[in-house]
Amino acid sequence: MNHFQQFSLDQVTQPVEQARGLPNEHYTDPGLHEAEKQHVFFDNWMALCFGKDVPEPGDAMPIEALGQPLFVLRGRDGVIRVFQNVCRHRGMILVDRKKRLSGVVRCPYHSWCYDHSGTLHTTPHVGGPGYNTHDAIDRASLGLIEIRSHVWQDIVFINMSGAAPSFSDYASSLIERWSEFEQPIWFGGEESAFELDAATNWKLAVENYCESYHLPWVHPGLNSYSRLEDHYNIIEPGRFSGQGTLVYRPILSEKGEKFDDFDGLGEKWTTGAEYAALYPNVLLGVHRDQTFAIILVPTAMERTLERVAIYYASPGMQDGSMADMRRRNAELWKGVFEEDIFVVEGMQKGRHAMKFDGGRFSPVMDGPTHAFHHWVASQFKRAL
Amino acid sequence: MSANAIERIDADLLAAHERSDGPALAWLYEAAAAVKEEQGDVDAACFFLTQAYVFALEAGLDQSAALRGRLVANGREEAPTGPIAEARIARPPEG
Repeated sequence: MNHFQQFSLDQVTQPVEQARGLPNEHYTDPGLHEAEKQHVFFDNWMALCFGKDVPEPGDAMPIEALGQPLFVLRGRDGVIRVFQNVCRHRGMILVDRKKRLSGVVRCPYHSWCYDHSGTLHTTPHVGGPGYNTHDAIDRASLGLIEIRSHVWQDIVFINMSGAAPSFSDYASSLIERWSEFEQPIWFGGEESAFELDAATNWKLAVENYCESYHLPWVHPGLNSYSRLEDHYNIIEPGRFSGQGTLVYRPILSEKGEKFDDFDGLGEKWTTGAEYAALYPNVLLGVHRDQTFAIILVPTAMERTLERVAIYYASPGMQDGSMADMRRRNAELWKGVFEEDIFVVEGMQKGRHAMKFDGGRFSPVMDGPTHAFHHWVASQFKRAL
Repeated sequence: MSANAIERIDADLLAAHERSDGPALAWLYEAAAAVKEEQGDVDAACFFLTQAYVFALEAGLDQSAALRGRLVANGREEAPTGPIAEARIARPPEG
């Protein structure tokens, strides 16, 4: 990092009244994109996928995390683990497609086999035909490389470096803030998951999600009942930021039916809902009758896949009789999120304007977005 | 058993490989091992037992434990130190 970049980051970490946004290079420079992988994603707890992606014991799914080949496995013990997706022998990819394993993970090349905890179980013919052992092959030291992982709210988080504090510490302030939602959640099924592909850097999706400033302009439909003045900022420096609303209204069916509420919620949640970005790449929403999560997958520097999943408060909400309501609910959210696409894509194009200086923040309205910029800049400054 | 027996198994093995039929592969390789054991060819038998063992492990077949025991008895495999982390499922061979 050169002096100019250091100076630019110092401008980002100024108080919101004086700060500028992250420099353009953080959205357009492949070199910084590479550095970001380590400092922003791998050194922290990044969201990888959902637990519902591997719902049954034995379910395995290959997944790339910013170019790193991994696979997620729900073991026979029900525990989700994340492994580097390569054999310890010749580095062959082990799991090439989503599948349900009846037994071990077998490398398709020379058939070294690993059990569901990653232990190297057998090494066929390694000592010659019919000889499956050799003094030089110490199976105990040749298990799969497991990536540190943690599942919270059905989101599988990983810490690639292994050096971050525990997830419980990392996310403690958000877990505490939403402690009333620390109860089972139930995935709404096929119609409650969708993906949006946007020609934008992932950070712009976070920035847009954090603030309510844009709501009356970009989401006029929401503004009819959820006005700008009904929202408040949520800022936890160094951890998460977002916005809350005071006027959440649960969806009703034509017959007046509604989704079950979570148990034991306080009065705040009767009409309140909150939306927060847990840094770096997961956007969360909590409501009395549902939660959702959007995992931002940076598929390229200027491309982001948004994976959305909606969860409900009781197993009854998974029933076929609720399918129409779940579908309608998902369509409502999808419509809102799609309204944001032109904004995040427009800002990405804008980041190629060579004289754009990162932009200024509204000290009143943009605090959550500035908090995110501050955090990203701090990850780079920490690495200096 | 004769050379014809191995040829018949070989043809079935190729077909089972073609359709990636793990349980059938486990049973057929075990059958090939039995032929070689009967002929007193321990090395060839252990080669086939190893093949059977791997496919039994992958398919989660109950027979994997017994196959491993036979390999261990012949000094070809490490003795188990504890239960493996995946459940074994008893399934008949297909086809």
